[in-house]
Amino acid sequence: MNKTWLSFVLFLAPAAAFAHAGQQGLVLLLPTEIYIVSGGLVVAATVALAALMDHDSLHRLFCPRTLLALPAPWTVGPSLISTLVFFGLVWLGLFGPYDPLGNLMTLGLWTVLWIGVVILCGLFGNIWAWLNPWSGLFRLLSGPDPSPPLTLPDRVGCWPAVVLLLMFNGFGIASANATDPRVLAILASLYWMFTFVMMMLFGAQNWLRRGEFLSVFIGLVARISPFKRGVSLRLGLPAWRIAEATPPSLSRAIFALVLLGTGTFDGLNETFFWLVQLGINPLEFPGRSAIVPQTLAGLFLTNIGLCLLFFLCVWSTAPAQRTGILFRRQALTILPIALAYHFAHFLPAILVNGQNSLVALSNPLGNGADYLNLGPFFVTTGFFNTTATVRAIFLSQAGAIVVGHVLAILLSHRIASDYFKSRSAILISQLPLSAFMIGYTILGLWLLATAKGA
Amino acid sequence: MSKLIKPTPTLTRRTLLGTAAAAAATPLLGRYAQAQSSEPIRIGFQVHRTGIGASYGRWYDRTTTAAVKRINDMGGINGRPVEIVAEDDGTDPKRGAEVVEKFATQHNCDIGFGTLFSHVVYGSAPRAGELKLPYFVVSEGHHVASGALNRWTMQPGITDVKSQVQAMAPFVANNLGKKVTMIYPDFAFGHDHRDYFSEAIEKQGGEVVAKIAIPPSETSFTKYFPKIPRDTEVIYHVMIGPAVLTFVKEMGEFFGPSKPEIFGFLDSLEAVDINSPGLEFLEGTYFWEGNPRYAQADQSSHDKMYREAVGVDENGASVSDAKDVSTYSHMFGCWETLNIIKRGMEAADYKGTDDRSNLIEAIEEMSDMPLSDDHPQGAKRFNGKTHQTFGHQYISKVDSGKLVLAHTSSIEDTLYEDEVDYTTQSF
Repeated sequence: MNKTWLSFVLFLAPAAAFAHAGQQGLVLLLPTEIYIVSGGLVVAATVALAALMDHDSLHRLFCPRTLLALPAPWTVGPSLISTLVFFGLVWLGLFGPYDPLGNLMTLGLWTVLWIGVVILCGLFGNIWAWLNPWSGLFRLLSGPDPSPPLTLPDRVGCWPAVVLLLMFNGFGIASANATDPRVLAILASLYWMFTFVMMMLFGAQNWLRRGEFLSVFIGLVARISPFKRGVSLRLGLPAWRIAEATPPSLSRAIFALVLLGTGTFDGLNETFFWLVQLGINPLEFPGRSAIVPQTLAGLFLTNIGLCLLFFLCVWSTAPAQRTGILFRRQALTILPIALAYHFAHFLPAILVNGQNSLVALSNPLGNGADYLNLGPFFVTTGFFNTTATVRAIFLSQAGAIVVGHVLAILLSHRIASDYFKSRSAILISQLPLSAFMIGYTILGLWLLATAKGA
Repeated sequence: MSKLIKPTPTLTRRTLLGTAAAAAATPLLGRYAQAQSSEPIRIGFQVHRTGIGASYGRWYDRTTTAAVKRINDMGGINGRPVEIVAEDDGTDPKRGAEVVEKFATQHNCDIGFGTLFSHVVYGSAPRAGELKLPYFVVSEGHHVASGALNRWTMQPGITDVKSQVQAMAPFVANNLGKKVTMIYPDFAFGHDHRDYFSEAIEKQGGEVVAKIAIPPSETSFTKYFPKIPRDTEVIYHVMIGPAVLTFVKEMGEFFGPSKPEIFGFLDSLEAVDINSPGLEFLEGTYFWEGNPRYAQADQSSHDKMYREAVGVDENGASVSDAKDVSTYSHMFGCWETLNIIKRGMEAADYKGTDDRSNLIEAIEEMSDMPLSDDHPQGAKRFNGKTHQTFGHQYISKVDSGKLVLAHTSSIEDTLYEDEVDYTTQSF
């Protein structure tokens, strides 16, 4: 059958369409305009509150307390176990069930690690530093303090991590094979080997801090946690570590902005709005493979646009000689927003694929085993079918987004207070960023509320 | 829940061949042991596990699991157990073609089965034809019967949209009214309904007095309702997508208590609780159903058995969560298709991939299939020339928040002239 004829047939032939109402249908019936306006007002009120705070009170707000002294953690063991688990998942990816929702390779990467571990680290600190599947084995093979044969030049910064993060997200958002267990097992093994080689060449800590995108990502997100485990355990307002941090490199600042840009686009690319821009009927999504270039372009342009907009907000009020340092420091203030987006975007996936993960743990080979003794277990999505549960899910998502922006506003004022003395100077310097964050709150809530077709 | 559905461990080849006494003692093992080979028959299950079809794919998966368990419990096919090899196609046509290719070249599948979304069928069926893989879709699209596909592609277990729409006209004209306003999304899906129904209602002496096409990206509908002519006796609506609940709510607000008769396709509300907020307005209106979601007063023993096997309660929801509403109007197609494949393989004395064309020919020979445990949705009449099955359609009325069966169409109401004869195509 030639293609022209097929297209002709496709155009003429009846199509069965099955886009279904479900959760989004109920969300469209919620008074989301009220929620959106309320969220924007809460963030605006935070701007007003921050305007009332002077330098000292802003500093006190983010000052942590020391709770107790702690022994140094044992990091080699957990990482070694993690390595074993990782290769177990790769084996399952290669030889286990083909079904992505029944294979722990897919569920382990996209549900447990990308959603679960990231959010846990945002809440409780960087457990990934112990759990990553490289550092334990590396230390076992190379000893505690090997000198690497090569040096990663300073000017490289953490640009490798920025590039890898974009590649990873480009694959995750655009590829039709992003959940295929076989594909994931191969790509994950290649990435594991690549990372291990780079650690040997440039030093473990150096590569994990600057090249390995998951470690850079989680390292940044963990700065939102109220806890910090060092020689002692310290506790403060969430994100206090961002307030105290030394200025990051430009590449790390861009990495933070890319996290938010990617999260934004991940939400945007499912909306009716975006599909209409692409000339796609939102009730007849043609499949990811039909729009790979458009999706990648959208991801890239969203990130470029966000970085430029953010720069303009900082540049417009910063003294010329301080624009650079203010941009780099202020860029980290969006981390709570990025984590909030991550949580909000993936909450429905957690609720469903958490169940799939449990079933797959009980039956990892898909051969009917029931190691967890679950009995007959039917994965349910019934909570997307009642107003009460859909409202609860929506308000949890919206609440996270508002809290993320409130923290970001307070942080940006706190950081500004290091460079501007008077209350009025701080306030004026933060007007563009505050407007940006109020706008971003509304955008985030709109992304949750608007109709989706992909 | 097993994805790679395998026969139970007690039915391994070694057990079967090694324990003749046990085989003689149990009819199940006895039937397996009669076979020359107890290697499983491998059915590639192309399932929408991710992507926009995932909510359907979950129920297609559940139904398929239950149907294969029943077939294996009854002794398998030709004495061989059935194994399902489930692959996700991401509801993506390009990936669908890849999945079909994997079934044929990597997974050693005997056949492919289970595709739902039409664009994925269109993307996959040509590859199945090239690879000479029998490909059984459960899609409801008119693509098979239209002649657009190939001899290796069949739709024996679910009726197509053309026959469904056509079969609604007699009931609508005789019971609801002859002046119909159609409200439909402005693309191929809606246009099919518009064209098939307009023609069918005219044959019944009725007419479509207005055709209101709604842009697919629309999420508010109030401006369209004033276009409904005053002399409209029946509204025929087939809106789909996330804004369906809004559509119904706004239509209810527009009409208030004095509404015309209203008829819709349950495709709009498949897997959606009919008691969702905004849907109160549907009380007293009518819906096409592929298979009645609510167990009816005169429920057949076959429907009862089928519900129990799949784990669906009398309201059409999961037995484990009353709010988890199934895709009851469509998923029976998986159950029935698998039983037809079983009978086809038995008729063709199917032994392996060399017999694939014999399987197609055996199914092409089929015609009437009675209501039974194999066909719990109702009797079917398969057309071997067009590779499409025909069957009863159901019209239900929303009564006290439940869908109560008001009319069952005859199979004759669903028939139309052949548009293709696949049997003239070579393998």
